[in-house]
Amino acid sequence: MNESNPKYEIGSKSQIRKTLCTFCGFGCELGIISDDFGLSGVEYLPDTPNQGRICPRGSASVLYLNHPHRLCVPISKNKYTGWDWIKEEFKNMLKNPDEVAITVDRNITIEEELAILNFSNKYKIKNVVSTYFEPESLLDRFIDEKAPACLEDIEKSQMLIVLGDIFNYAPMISKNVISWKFADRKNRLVVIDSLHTHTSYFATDFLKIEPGTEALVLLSLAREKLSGKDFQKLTGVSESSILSIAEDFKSAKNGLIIAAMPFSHSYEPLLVVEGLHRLSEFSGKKIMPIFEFVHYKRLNPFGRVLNLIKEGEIKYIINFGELFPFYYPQFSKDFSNIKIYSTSALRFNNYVQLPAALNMEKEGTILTTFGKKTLAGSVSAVSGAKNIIQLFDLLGVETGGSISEPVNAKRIDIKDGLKRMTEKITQNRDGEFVLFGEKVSYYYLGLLEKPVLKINPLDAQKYGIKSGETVYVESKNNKVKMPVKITSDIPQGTLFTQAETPEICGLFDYEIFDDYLYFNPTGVRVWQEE
Amino acid sequence: MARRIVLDLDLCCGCRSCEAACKVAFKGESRIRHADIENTAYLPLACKHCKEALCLASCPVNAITRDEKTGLVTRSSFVCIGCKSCAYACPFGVIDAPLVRHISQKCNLCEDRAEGPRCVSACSSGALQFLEEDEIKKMEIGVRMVSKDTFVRRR
Repeated sequence: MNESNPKYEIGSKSQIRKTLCTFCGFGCELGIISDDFGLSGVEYLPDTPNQGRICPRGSASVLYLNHPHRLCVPISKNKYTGWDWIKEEFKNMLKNPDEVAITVDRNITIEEELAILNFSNKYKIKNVVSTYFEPESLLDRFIDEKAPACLEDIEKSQMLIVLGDIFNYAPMISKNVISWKFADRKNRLVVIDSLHTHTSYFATDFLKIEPGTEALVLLSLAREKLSGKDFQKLTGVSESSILSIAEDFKSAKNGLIIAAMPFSHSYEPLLVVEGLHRLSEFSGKKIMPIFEFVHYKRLNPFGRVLNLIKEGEIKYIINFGELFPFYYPQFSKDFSNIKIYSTSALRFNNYVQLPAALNMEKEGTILTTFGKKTLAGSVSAVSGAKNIIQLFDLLGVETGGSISEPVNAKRIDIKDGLKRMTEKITQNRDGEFVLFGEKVSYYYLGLLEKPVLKINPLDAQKYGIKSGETVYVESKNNKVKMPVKITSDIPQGTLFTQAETPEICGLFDYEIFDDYLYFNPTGVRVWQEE
Repeated sequence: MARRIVLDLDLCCGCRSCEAACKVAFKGESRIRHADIENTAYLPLACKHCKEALCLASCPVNAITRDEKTGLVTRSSFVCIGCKSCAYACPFGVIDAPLVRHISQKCNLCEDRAEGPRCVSACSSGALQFLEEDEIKKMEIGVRMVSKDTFVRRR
């Protein structure tokens, strides 16, 4: 650099703090730059397992850590309230443990999960449930903590079966998969998805299935005897292509199944998981789960607690985590008569909120796709924000007792599941589009783009909608105004969007099955403002 | 020897990590952009620091200058008046027309960073590389499609 263009060195007081990115299940390493003015940027560290590569979520992490709405003090209905008041509230609430439910969302370390369970044991709170509703959370059962999947498994493979748009879900995997594909022209990449994505562009075989039918396709790849005259009509792919892929995958010396399951992308997520199980058993190949947040193996599903809330048996919720219940306006009616105390990193609701540290600001262990990783606590928490253990100390609540065994992941009966799935697919939705969810990392925090509504060109023409225009999308649950993107990537009669805001999440229908609560693709109407 | 950002389009997975890295580092400026070519490709667009730079020629206040040693074409944020002449003059459309903090969004190859541009460091698939001219000549960029694999972006 010459004198006319001086090199602007980072000031002498600025430091690069190495930490783990906790915004997806990959746990990439990055540096957070801190100086006299606070956290000022991200540094890409070449001497890390991810070689400095960071996806949009990782780059935007500093914006989240530094967010202008970070919560620093406890608040109730958007007004400051002291810790003493919270302490008193907790004391009164814990006198009736049967009326209390603990919900655990995301942004929790393994140590904090254990502290929460100890706390619930001590105060005899029976209902401790997970509110991590994204179906990807069901993939935690495929994390083998003793021998977790690793990126070398991709290199060794001759064939990969990929479920979903993994390159935009967790971009860090793209280099490994693309290099593997170009390394040998015999390497075969099979992608299963209902829309064209950047992952499907790279596929050797792209199984472009009818939206939501992932479970049926996976089960047929596992050679479950499901063949019938309606198979091709339902899934959009021929049985012969499925048969050939299934046999080749089974006979491949090495192979891997890589699975991502976005919010409201498939019907019957439990059946999709069962399909993955059976494909893995049939082929003898491992599953590498891709997920956005870590999951907690000792928690029960949320469905039963929601029923108890509806019946009026639960009067208080203590939420540890990040997004629930703010992200799901579907529940606001059910929650109108109960009192909610929630930890939260950002200030954005009317409940009692306690300032929470983000995972990147903690010391502890998180579970990633590649097994356990350690958070060093190198980035100090924003003033006032507490981790769960500090919170318990501050509130003077005790923890103790023994920890339960991990909840065993249930297997489900495929016959009933398929019946339910077929009913949902063939349901008559006159004059309606079916809205599906997708996960694309660059919509995170609206850094590069705000969520858009994808619509097929023929549908856009029919309704006189032009690209970039704003439309109303309305389901029976909610109404949202969104910009439109016209693309032939998606099939006619469907809409796809990224459930990145509470309003968009609020569009989707939910269903409780076997205590699990999941969000389904949902019928919506679209119109333009007069 | 001048170093430039080179895109190996075969490897690009469209994750936009490059844009995010740029936008976070430059407080909201998108100095690297993309073109979404429907049914064909996602194409990150980085400044080429042209030898005959039209952005430089069109700037009415000489805010854009060239470093004769490195060939780097940079914009001074103190001199720029936000007239957008550079954005309209750029034949590759890499200078984004919307102004951020009343100035144009012009790549400077992250000259403040010894390791090179942040977009290249962040690139998740390795499609963006920061290479010297003679390294570029040796690379087999663009050859993969015909010589190694019949890779075509499928529809």
